Amino acid sequence: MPMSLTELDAQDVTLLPERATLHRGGLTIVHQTAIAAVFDFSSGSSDTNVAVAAIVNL
Amino acid sequence: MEASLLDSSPVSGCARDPGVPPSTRPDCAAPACAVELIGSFQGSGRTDETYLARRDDGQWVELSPLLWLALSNLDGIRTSAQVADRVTAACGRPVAGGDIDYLVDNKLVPAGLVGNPLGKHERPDLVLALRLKKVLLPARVVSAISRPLRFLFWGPIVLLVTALFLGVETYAFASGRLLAGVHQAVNRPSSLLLMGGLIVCSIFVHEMGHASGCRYGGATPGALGVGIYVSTPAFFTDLSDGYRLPRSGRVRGDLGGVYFNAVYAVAVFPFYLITGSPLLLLVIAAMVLEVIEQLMPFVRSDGYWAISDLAGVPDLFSYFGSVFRRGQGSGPQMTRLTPTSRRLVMIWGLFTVIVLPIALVFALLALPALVVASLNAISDHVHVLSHQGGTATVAAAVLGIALTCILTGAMIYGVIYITSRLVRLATNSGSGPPRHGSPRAWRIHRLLRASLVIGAIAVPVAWSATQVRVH
Repeated sequence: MPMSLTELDAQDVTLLPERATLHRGGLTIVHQTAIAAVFDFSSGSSDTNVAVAAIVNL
Repeated sequence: MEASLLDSSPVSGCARDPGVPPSTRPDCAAPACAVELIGSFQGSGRTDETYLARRDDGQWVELSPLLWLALSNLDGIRTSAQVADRVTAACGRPVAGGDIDYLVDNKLVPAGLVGNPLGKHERPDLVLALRLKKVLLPARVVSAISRPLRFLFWGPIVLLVTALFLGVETYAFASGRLLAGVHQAVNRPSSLLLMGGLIVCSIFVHEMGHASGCRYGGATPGALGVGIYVSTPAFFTDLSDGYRLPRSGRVRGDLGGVYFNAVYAVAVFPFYLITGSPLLLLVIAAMVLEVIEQLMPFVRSDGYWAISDLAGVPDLFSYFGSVFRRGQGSGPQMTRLTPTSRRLVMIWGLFTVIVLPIALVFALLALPALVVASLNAISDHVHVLSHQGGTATVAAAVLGIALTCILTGAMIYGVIYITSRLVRLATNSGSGPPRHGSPRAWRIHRLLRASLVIGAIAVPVAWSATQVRVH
């Protein structure tokens, strides 16, 4: 049986996603520690805040 | 399908005689010059067999058997009728020359597999994809570094490293010295820098784990780089060549990163034994947290790719709508999956639909407080700038302002990006303007949907903003 237009239209061609394996973990720690450091520096708060931020970030 | 016919066919668009000018369609279409025909997509979650090709720009394309047959028989010399004869012989169904023309015009040319190889071709528009990517290490350097590390994926070594990792981590968490490590990091800026350096080093090792795992299976890893993922910076390694691997090879590449985190922890431990520094113990403990974060499957991190490969579905997010259609996972896409793949996609979808909105709401609720804190920080830095003249102080204040602006800008950008994606998703869902009905009503309907999405984003932000105290 010849191909129908519906069958031809149903032929799939899919662009696959780039397999880019992300790693945010370490950078997130550095990034968020930088935030904590920036805020802490500006507010002049105690080391405790930085410690808490560091623990939370970890 | 007759493999012999496939095998005997030229599989490159460059196979045509260079002396013969490329003919124009419809009689003698040719694949784009550098299209590589890979073969069957091994470990696909679909019930029907599919095939893979790679464009010259590195884009991978999945094709139905008929399209694959058509593409693999196009060489710029055969006429459409001749190609149709070969396809007919291979697939056992009568295919006409006009059918080949139709497939070329409507499927292969738009996908960039036939036609001008230098033209700008479509790329997939992905949900939650990495953006603004910059290459840090080109593919050849990544290959050179990852090649000698392949031995770490030999079975007995994997078992040994895993056992050592468990032992080392148990020691780290049971030692009671982690808090001492935190104190050391906080009280000595040099220690914090050292720890930051060791963590960044672990990221590099993690990415090399992906590359080595990919290479162990026989694929060639791509470049290592950095980009922006929603609003935070993220490293990446391009493992697209892993599509050519069987399922186990792809999963090895996916999990190679966290495996190398384990290798890293085991490698750091002797230095802890020598120095006794609790900071190193903290780094070892951090590897567990990194592994856990990387295995979260809700965004495109390692856990996501592992589930994607186990299910044999390259883009899980593209199945998101199908998962919930009619409440039974019975969308047309889902029916083409094997029962196991369907179950995996369903489970992933159900967890993701719960976790991602919760994460978004938390981020939205935190946004006003973060913006106010940033403004306060900038104000304090400006105060320092205007009252103190020391070079170091000025430099620190300027750096502080720059960092605050960048980090806050990234957060705001992340919310805007997510909002725009959700608006697009809400307004594009459905099947376009109705055949019978007012286009104006359809536009109003889309506007309402967009307003609803924007409202849903704005309400938590607005509520949270009323709770923020400004000093």
